[in-house]
Amino acid sequence: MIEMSPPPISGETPPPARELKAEKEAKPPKPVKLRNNPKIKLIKNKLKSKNFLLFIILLVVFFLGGIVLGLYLKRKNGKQALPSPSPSPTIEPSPSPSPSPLSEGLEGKLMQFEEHLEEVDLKEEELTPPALDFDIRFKVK
Amino acid sequence: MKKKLLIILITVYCLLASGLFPRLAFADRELDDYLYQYEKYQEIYDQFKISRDKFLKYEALSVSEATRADTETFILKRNLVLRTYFLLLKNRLRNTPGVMNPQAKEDLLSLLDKKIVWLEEESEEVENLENPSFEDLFILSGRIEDKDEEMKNLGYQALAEMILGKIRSLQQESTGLTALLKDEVFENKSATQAAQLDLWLREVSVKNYLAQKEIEAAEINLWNLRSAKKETSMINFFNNLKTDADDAKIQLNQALSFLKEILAQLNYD
Repeated sequence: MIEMSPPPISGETPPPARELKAEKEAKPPKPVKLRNNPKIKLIKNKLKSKNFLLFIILLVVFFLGGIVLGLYLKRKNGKQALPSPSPSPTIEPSPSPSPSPLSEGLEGKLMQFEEHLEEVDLKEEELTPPALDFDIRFKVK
Repeated sequence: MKKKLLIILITVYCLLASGLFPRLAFADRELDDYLYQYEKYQEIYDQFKISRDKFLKYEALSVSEATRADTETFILKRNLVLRTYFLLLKNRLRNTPGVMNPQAKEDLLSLLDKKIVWLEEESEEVENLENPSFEDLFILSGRIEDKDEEMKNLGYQALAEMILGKIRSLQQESTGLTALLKDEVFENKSATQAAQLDLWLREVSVKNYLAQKEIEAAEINLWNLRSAKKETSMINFFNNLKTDADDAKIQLNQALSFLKEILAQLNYD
């Protein structure tokens, strides 16, 4: 169907309808490439930036997760390192030779103490005062 | 692509710099800094000695200029090594676990701070000199040289406090564990078993006590070290202190092996 265009203001005569039809038939419209379509490009870009944002968020979450885990472990270890002042709970002695939970806790503390004893550096060789020349004066004539 | 990479790098940097992973990222920056400056000092010192010997041999004007520049560089580097050393001590003193009198710790930190600032000011004075003569440089260097023994004493004191802090902390840990084990013995065992284990626990207490005595001997050495004026006596007191701390550690190791035996007895009786 051919649209009826309004008469031109300039006064030029419009081409006849037949000619227009022939022209259309002669030149078929070019297929629009999807890759070059600006709308698709825009969508792709949006998706890319969304993925990127997601990546950054994941990165931050990963770091924060590390911190929370670190703090949790530190707190747990700290609690183990200090002997608690509260009285130890009484546990019915079991007839089996398996260690009681309380003894297990003590064993953990003993192991930790053993580690501390092994790791402690009482030499501190690298912190000994540096050997520097404190007498640089020489005779100048 | 480059822009995105940059954003990622900035994000990672911000997260690290914000102190989220300080131990991982900057594990011991002060020590690295000090060791680097000390290494550079050795190079500059060698260069200074060559230059000085050349000057004393030829006494030419051209050699004199170079020697003056090398002397200035040497003085600045020596100040920098001392400054990084005190910064390292300050950092270690703050982060070393242990039982230290808070007032004594603050006093020591304040002394270290004063030395750091003073060294910085001395370096600035050397840098601000325009065409300094040898005499100018020797006067400025002399101010540092006069404080040589004092600075070494400060270094040994800080070290001694750290060693004492560590061993005190271990002794307290051992005493705490002994108390915990004692509760366990009396709560869960029959009178005969408890009496037997109590005897063993007394052995542990003796070891803890002997460790305490070694620590007290180390404290006396620290006291003597504080008032020592000459480097030889400082080293002597410091080495004695280290021996006392080592002996205390031996006692604590024995206490630990006894504690392990008692625990094994508690578990399998």
